[in-house]
Amino acid sequence: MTAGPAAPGAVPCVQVVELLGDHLEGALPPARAQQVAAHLLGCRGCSALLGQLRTAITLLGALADPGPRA
Amino acid sequence: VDADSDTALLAALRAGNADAFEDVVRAWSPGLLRAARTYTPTEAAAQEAVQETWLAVLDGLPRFEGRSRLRTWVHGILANVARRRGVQERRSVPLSALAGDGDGNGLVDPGRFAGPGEARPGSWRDDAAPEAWGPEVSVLTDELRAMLLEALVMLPERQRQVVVLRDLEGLTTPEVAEVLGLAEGNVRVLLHRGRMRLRQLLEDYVRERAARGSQVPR
Repeated sequence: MTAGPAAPGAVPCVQVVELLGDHLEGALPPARAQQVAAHLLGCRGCSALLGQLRTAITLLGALADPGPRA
Repeated sequence: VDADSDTALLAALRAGNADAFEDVVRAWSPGLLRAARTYTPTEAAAQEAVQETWLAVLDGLPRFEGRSRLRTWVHGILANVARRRGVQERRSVPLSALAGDGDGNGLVDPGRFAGPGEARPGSWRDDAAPEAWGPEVSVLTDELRAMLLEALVMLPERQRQVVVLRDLEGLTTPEVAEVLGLAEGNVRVLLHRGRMRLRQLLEDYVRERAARGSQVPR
């Protein structure tokens, strides 16, 4: 596994970064979804970024829980 | 709130059950106020908008058709109330200015990708690829809470509204689109851009902590 895509000709990281939004929302067309899934399997950088986005989303959700601010 | 409890709640509200109404006001007002702050210029205007919303809810309940979830409907009323009140204060940002242009477009620093003349163009540079985060961001500490709230305020208005409704209030993307009167595709673009900005902030935070940690003699 490298920081970059598994195979030449695959969707480059810079484009995957954009597609991750629709990936998270389940809104990618099937062929695109497969490309992104394949890329994520082979790319440590993009899969780490996806994990980071998920963490950000979890933290945002926790912001709405009753906290110190009344 | 699932569909069944929505039905029960609606029946109680329509029957004029004051306790049920008070419960809903207490439970939903903090979230409505959070959303209102993203529509209106001042805290006072936000609070007034929420109050006006609850009056409009009471008024409109007999006409609510149940085509959306009750909470989504209430958020839609708030958006309309706030829009009417804050209309002269709002800067409207053309959506085209916020749409992606197929080039990463500020989602992350373009310098983190290899350029056209390099090996694997468009791939992460080895020294700039994102790395998995550790436990320092796995729990919402007071420090992270303050940081994220401050960062939310700094987001462009539309991004902030979408992130608050989707990620804090838990509305679905179609519901957010309905409340804000946007196309779902635009909601997804705004959502991703907003989340990516907040992600960058967290990444900076993680790196800074790591750098600070490594300076501590062991």
